[in-house]
Amino acid sequence: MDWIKFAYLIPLLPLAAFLLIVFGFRFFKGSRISSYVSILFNTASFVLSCFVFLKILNLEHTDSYSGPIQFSLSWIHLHSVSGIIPLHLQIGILLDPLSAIMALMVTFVSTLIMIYSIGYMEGDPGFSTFFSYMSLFVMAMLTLTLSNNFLLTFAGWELVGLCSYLLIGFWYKKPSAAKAAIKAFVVTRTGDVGFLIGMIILYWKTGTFNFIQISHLNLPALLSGWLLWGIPLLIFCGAVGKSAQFPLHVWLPDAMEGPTPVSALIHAATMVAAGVYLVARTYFLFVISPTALLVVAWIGVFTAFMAATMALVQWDIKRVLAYSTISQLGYMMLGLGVGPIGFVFAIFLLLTHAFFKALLFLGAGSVSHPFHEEENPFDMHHYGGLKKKMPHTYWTFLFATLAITGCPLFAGFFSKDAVIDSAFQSRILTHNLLWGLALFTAFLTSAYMFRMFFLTFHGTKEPEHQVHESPWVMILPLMILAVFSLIGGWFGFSWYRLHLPWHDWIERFMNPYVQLYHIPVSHTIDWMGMGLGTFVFLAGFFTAWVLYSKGLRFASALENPIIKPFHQLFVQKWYMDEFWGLILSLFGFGLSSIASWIDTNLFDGTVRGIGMGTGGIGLKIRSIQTGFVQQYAFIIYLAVLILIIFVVSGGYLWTARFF
Amino acid sequence: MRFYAAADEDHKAQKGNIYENRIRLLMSNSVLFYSLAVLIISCAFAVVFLRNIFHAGLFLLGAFLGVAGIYIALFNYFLAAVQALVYSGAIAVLILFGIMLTQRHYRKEDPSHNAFKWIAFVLSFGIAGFLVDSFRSLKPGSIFPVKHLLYQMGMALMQTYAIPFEVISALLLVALLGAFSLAREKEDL
Amino acid sequence: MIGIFHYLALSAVLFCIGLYGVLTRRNGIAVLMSIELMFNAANINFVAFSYYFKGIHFISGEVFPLFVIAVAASEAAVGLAIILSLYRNKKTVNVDEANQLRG
Repeated sequence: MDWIKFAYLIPLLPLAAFLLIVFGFRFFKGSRISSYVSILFNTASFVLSCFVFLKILNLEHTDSYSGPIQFSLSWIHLHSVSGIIPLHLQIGILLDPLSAIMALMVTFVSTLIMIYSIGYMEGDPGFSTFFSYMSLFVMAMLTLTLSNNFLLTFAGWELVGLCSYLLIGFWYKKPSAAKAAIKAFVVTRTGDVGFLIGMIILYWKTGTFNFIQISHLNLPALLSGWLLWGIPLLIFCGAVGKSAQFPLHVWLPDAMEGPTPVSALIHAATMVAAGVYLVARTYFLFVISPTALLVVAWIGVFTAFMAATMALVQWDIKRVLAYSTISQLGYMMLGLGVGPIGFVFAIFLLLTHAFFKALLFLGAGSVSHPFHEEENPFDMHHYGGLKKKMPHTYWTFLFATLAITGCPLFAGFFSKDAVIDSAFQSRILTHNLLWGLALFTAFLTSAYMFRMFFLTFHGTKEPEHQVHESPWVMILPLMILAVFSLIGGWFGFSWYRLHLPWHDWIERFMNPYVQLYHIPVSHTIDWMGMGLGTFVFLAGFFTAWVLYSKGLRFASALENPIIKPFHQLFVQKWYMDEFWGLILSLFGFGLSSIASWIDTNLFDGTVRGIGMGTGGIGLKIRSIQTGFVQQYAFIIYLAVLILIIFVVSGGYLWTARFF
Repeated sequence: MRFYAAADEDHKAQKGNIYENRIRLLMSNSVLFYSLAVLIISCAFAVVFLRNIFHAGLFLLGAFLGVAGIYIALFNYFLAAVQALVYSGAIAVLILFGIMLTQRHYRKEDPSHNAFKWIAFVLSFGIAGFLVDSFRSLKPGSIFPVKHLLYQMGMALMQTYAIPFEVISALLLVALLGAFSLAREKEDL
Repeated sequence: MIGIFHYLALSAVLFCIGLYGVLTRRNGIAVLMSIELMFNAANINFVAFSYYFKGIHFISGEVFPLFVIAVAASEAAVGLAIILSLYRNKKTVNVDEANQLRG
């Protein structure tokens, strides 16, 4: 059976779950049925994604492969009217290695998160609503993933934004949650404006929204001047907003107000992955412009560094994870920005990151579960010495921490360090600086992750609460994800050129740009990359171990005049919130005072003038209305008479000469 | 369909032609037309000029019947029958009832026409003269009597004009209800 | 020989008489009667054109008077109802005395 023909069902199945829950809400209320519906449909979607993925994999390895597969429906088709571009909008799906593997990851991780949510959301009054939103979220992400044109991608993109708004503000009775939801929505919308403008300019220049068609065009000839780097950067604006890159990263830490599985979903599989995926999907626009690539790389690496410094000083476990996500997304952008050489590792990092970041969040949720009566159950001041009480959570969390920090043989070692190394290998401007900053950030990553880990699980502190292990429905997804955090990286041996049978699998599978741009592939094992990666991992680990596990709470060091301003800067999140507040208040105040002046004088004046003028004229001419019907009839008759005379005398011919 | 057409054909062959020829003979002498025209115009003048509104209503009846005669002169017997039944039988009688219901407060010294009557007279009959003058260039030309007229009218009503036909039925119903609700005695007015 | 000219002239004269009545008669019922005269003038035109001109829609001229008659009947019914209502409230049927909506 040719499963690939049913690929359009992948996004439609979660949508069906959403509709079923929404319209069956009355029957599902107060029971677990809605979660079962969600999980069932999501699992079906996952199975279908598996088949599609395997099919694509087979196609890729045969000689008959003839490029990406598309299925599309015509949506709106307007023919060209003199001088206007014909409008042909499609709804369609695009199946190539990138979208197939992405769909596989999204459905897999979201299914596990949904299973976990059964336990986590147990007893919440919005249980059914939660699962309907989750299904819609997955559907939106899959639409965005599988779409074959900019327009449908944008629709999915906005749907993702909407769902994040709904889910971050899920506990909307909490004022902070409502504010965080609005912040997330508004900040990401800011980037979307750029995306929309870039998309429209691109359509104007190329006449199509279809990715494949655009990528086959001779873009450098079509996009002259600033458009060559302007369009990719405008599209990158959207990715900056969604993937929480500097300077629009401010929404992501606040998004922790949502339920923990939502955070896991946003951070691992859906929302923030969308930005990276968008850049990867439209990479044909980026590779032709070194300027755009440089901007992407620098924003990526700076975001990674800045977020890592902020993660060092946070006391809220979820905020540490949020900053680590921003940091990892920065790595992905760096990988994309260093050119075709890093493209494949950025995507690989995106996939593996999904596993261990989902695991970290779910683990954090599991840790905080006994503390839910606290004002902030995620505050690490409450934790400490949890290793014995929750062994399953401890071990799975350890796996995830090792994966994200780049411990050899774990996933991050093969993906994150490969990205860093590709920055070194790339030939773009200032690549040494990029690489150095990225490597230092890797050290910070290791340090803050182990700081969090030691503060949570180690130490001699006895928790005040009756700490217990979470139920099995929550532990099982953790274990599955832990396995993948370990073995997920093994598909990416290629960078270190360890000659296993599948050693260059991911490179061949994922990377059309490697062949396109003739990236040289050497065949010696990259000892330097591996060694440096291991070194910064160990350095970070020991730093954290010395400072936190050994109980050295270096409170006195914080008073040091050199360290204190930095500490202050990191705690205050580099003053980015204040920066945006200032910008908004300055621009907002200026704009609104101008708008107010225009409104009171111009619009109100016009409206009032029209009103008063009408009244005045009415007063003057009201005497015409005599209430005498036959006078009106007489006037009508006279008017018709004049028209008749005009027509009969050929007057219209005479008038026509003037036009 | 074929059956009716055939029947109509037979009917025409036996009787229709005789009458049509007879009337066409009359028409060629113009006697029928001119007598009808004189009847209609004089009745119409009486309608608009007579001071007594009841007499005017009676002359309106005469004008309607004259127009029915014009339809006969144009060989549309069905329309003539409708004109006689609906206009003369229903509308004119309705108007006469209306007149009789509203004459209680009739004041004899009231003028029957308003202040426009001279200028309206000039403009109306001026334009009538202008129109008649401009029609004079039309040649008499040939005539095209419709074959199987009633059958064709029925088909047109049921096919081409099916929707207007239904709309008209709705209009009549609405007019009936509207007239009823307007003319009803209301206590609080 | 009677041609289209005669019918059109008759129709025009009838129409203008009705128009004069509409413009000048004070009695509301007389105004209605004049309107009926104008309807009749239009109907004569329809039938005459259908009779004297050949066209694809020759039957339309024969059918339209039916519609016009139906509309005229509705108009007469509603108009008379309005006039009766006016009469009941103001004890008059003269249209120039119903001028409460003047400015």
